[in-house]
Amino acid sequence: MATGAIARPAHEAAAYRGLLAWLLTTDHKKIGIMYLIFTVLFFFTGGVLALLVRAQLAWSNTGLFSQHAYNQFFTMHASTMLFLFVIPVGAGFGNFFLPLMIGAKDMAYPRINAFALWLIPLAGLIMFSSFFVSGGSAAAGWTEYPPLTGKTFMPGKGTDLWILGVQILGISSVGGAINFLVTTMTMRAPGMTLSRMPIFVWMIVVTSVLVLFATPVLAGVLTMLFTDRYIGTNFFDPREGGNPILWQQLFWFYSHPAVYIMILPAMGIISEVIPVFSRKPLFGYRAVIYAGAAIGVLGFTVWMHHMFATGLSVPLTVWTMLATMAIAVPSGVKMFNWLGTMWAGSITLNTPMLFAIGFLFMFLIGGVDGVFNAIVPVDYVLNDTYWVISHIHYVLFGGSVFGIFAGIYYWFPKMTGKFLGETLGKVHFWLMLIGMNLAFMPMHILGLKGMPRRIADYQPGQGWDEWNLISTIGAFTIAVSMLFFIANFFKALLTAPKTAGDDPWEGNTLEWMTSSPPPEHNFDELPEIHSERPAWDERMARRPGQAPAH
Amino acid sequence: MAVQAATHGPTHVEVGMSRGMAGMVLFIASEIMLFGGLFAGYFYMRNQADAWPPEGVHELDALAGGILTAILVISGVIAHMGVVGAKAGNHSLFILGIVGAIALGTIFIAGQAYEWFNLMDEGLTAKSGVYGSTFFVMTGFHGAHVIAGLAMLLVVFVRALSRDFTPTRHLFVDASVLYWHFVDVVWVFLYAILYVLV
Repeated sequence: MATGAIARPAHEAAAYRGLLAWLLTTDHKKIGIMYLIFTVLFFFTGGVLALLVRAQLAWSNTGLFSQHAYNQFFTMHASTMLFLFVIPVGAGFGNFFLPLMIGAKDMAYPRINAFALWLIPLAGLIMFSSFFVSGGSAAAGWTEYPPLTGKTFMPGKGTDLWILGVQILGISSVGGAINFLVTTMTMRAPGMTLSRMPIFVWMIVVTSVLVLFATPVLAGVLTMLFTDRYIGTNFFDPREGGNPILWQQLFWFYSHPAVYIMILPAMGIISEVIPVFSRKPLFGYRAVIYAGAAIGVLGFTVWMHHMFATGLSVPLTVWTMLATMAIAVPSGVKMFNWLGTMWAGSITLNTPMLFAIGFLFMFLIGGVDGVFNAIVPVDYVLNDTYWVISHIHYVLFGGSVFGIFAGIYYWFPKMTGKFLGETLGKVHFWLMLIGMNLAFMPMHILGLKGMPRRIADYQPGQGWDEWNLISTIGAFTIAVSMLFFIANFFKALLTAPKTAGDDPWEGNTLEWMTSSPPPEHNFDELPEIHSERPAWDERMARRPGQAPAH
Repeated sequence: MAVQAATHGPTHVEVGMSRGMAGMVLFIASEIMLFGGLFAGYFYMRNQADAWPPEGVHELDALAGGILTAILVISGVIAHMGVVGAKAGNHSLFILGIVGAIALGTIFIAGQAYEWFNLMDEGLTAKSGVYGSTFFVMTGFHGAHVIAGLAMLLVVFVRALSRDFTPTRHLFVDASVLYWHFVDVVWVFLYAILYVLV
């Protein structure tokens, strides 16, 4: 197997040391790791806010927090989880692994990359600083619907800091998306054709297209809200010819595609994990790509299913309902691709695989109850109840977060050269799985029993107490599972020996063909690439008596 | 069967347009969506209004707006001449094109500021109903983009003075002028819906 040597660029010689090596870096791997550290820290922060929310709701009339404090907690919980964790964490994995997986040396624009990274802690600081200004943080829910977010009802500065923070995160996302797209377009290794790119890369590409086209619309409507609050424009004020529904139209034009921005990278991760731990190629490689692209395209047409209760015209309602249900088709295609990959495979249940399988089960529940929401008459009943909270957590926690942890356990050896502990990892997985079902399954029932979302208190005797208590216990179980993850992380980082080697899982993709962690220039040499599984091809070629099939 | 990797520089294959231009094209695509959102909001508001412009509201001067439009379109043509000059190694044509575009762009911004203050004097402000809100926010967004485009052209100008570009190396010129064309085109649409489509 002949390979071509790649000379190192000269500028790598001038390197910073210590902390400066991280603060001033433009290396995609360091940037990726910092993305992951920042976003996971925000995940924990958002998790603490969730615990406060669940503590307040544990039973009727706990009276733990004032209504205003509670409103801030659930608003900032969702805003943190969505804007500061689950959206940028995909960019974190993308940063570290997309260039490695396509055999590139770095991202196309390393300095824009660093800029996009550092905007995230800045935006986080701005958003969290709002707890300390008069009136407290944003408190109208992460959807920030006017007129509630007008100056009349939200006179404090919290809403403005929220707008500023989300606006900055939008700039970061768009910078990252352009970077991913140009990197993928122009920097693939010889032989890495589009139809040989790893699924994870494809999913980052689809995500980036969604970011590129959806985020600017959010920037526009956030500006309208800001000028309504500050300059006195009348976009959302019906007395002056405005309309608060305009906010919902433009907000959801971003925020529905954003749901796929949040889930597609996780789908990409498990599409890498499942074949490796099933010892089989991905079943239906092209189908997974087409399904991902179809989800992306359809995702742009269904935002009004968040607005059925506002009284849309009948044709719009029917179209939105049908298109929404149609998204279940490509999602189902992917589901069968993953199951077909596992079918008759030699499955090893390592922690990454457990999280990937957890994704399948939890995402299935979230997908099915999502179809309920799509049916207009059912939606009229379920709209703004705890059913919706349940649905979003099965998709985003059961889906995205399980996928993200699958990625962390799968790629930690590549990033550090060390394994995360299997025992602690399995405890983490099972506690998280049990905790999430305890936390979110009862919310289906609460929703059907009519419990509205975003209420700070409820009266006893409505049949809500028991289910809320179970949900709160589940939330704290998830928190305990995270303690096992944190222990595992530091134990591995501080005490584990570097035993992972280049290719601990016998992976398929190029990142396993360099050292762990990879050198700054990524690859000393690249193999020939003639399939979507170059590492597998190489391994097979080295085994006597077996030729790579392609 | 060795893979021929590059012997120097990064290990990529340049496909199609250059990396820098690809980034600018994608950035402009996102900008189109930004203005697309604003246009969508505008038509949403306009459709539900009883009358547009609402009765008693000062109407916009289509002639003055038309002159501004002409100025901006001409500046786009002149900027393009600058690119032609840069590619041909004709330094004076290059400088003339860029300076001309900057000058006309500045006149456009000044003209728009003049119009803004005029309208405010006559009682049309961002606060005067959704008609004023859409006008000032959309033209304001666009004006900010014109200023950003001017800043890029100024950098081109300064770098051109120090002979930073050659007939084969002029990516930043291309990218900046492409962006300049983009703000021109957005303005043509803005002029059409705000001033003409009454």
